[in-house]
Amino acid sequence: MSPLILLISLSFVAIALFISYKEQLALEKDLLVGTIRAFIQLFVIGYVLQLIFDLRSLTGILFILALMILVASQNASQKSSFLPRSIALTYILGALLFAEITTMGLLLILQIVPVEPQYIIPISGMIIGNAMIAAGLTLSRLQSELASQKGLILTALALGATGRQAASSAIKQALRAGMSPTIDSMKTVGLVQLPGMMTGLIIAGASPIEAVKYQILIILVITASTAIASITVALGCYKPFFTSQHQLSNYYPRQ
Amino acid sequence: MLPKDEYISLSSYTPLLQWDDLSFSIPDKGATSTTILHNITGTLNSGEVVAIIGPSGSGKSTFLKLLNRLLEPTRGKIQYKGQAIDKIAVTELRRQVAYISQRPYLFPGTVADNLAYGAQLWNLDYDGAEWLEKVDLSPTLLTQQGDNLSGGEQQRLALARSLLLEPSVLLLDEPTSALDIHGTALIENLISSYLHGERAVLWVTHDPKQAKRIAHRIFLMEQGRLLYDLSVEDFFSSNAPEKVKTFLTVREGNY
Ligand SMILES: Nc1ncnc2c1ncn2[C@@H]1O[C@H](COP(=O)(O)OP(=O)(O)O)[C@@H](O)[C@H]1O
Ligand SMILES: [Mg+2]
Repeated sequence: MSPLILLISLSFVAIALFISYKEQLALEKDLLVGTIRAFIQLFVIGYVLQLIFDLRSLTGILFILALMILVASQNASQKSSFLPRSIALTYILGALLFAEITTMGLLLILQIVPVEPQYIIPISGMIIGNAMIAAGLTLSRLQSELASQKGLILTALALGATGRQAASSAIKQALRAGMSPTIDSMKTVGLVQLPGMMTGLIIAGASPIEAVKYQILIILVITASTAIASITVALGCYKPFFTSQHQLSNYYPRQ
Repeated sequence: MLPKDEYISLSSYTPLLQWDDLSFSIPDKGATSTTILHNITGTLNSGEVVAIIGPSGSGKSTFLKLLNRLLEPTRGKIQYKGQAIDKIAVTELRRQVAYISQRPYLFPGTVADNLAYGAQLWNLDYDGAEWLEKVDLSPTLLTQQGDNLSGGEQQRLALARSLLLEPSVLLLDEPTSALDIHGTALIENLISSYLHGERAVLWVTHDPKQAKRIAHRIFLMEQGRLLYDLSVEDFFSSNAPEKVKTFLTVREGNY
């Protein structure tokens, strides 16, 4: 694709700008900022990836992966309301790291994916991105369940339950919340929308069947990574809400 | 009615629970804290019922929760059967020193599920139908959803759920506040038949008449302090301390 064509494609933004202006949506500024940011961010990442692909350096790959995990953890920990941000960040960082190492590790060990940056990095991006969303959903649901189930949880503790036992229903709800978007999307994939990666592969010249094989692989990997991230976050983040003596801690939401 | 006279004549009770110089504070937003309970000392002896009476907000519920370590005292010591409670596994302590909250919280599921909750934690065999009969609920309710029960029925179910663990000490937080005369009499009788020489009850009530019916001793609490620890006779005698008389006059006015 020539740079000129890319510039001409800006006219698509002009359509959106025109509608916003005509209907007084006041979205013009956001549209412009968004367009510029998308251009800059994507080109920067494009050049960085190109560099790393050319260098084929292990350090470079690890650096990019670490950066992705860090940014994703930072993002997901914004879902923390009752839990101090730094504690949430620690657990989420651990969860994303765990999800990436397990799934990518398996892909590499089983030689499903070659040890090449152009495979590792985009696939890791999908693993980490989806794990990030699952981690955020799990954390925010866990906190809201703990808040709304406070009376029941205190009752369970009073009957002799441990913190883990008392929180088990909240933990289950949180896990469901974290995992169900992936499971739902698995049910409709290909019917409503072709996934971005498949679209990309097809446009870049791969046969649809080849693209489908990769897509199925990715869906399965993402399912595993969201499950790992959700369970790690839920089983980690409930802990600070209880003391070692199975009491509600100071972080526990007040009524 | 309680077999009060049988026990009141004993000159020496053995203490089941002892607490010494208990204070409880909660941290505020800044570096300060609010003290909710101040320097409370006393005992609960086997075979006796002690009523705790005092205005709303005087710290009665907080005090009960300290005694089975649902809350941790800021200072002071508690002993159960002569053992410091921090030397006893906290879940075991709570099984033996049962706290029953003012509002009943039922777990999702059937009446039977609710009875089973504590019993499963402790691997106990019990007869659900028999326990329902003891709290004057029909055994046919076993398969009903818990939230189909009326408020009073839920209260009695919650009581049965705790009693079937056979605790030695009952910490009752206004168990009859939501019940009519019939329901109240029923609970009073149930507790009286539960009580024997090895057991004891701390019963928070807002009703001096109830205290007179059920208790051997009465604690009067006000603003986080234990003002008086008096026998029922002394509490209602014409020689009672002025503050007790004032409290009773104010209460009478409310009925
Ligand atoms: N977790 C808490 N946070 C803030 N204030 C509390 C908390 N628990 C109790 N209090 C305060 O402590 C006081 C005593 O409460 P409570 O023990 O429930 O009194 P009572 O049972 O006698 O009505 C009240 O003023 C209440 O507002
Ligand atoms: Mg209370």
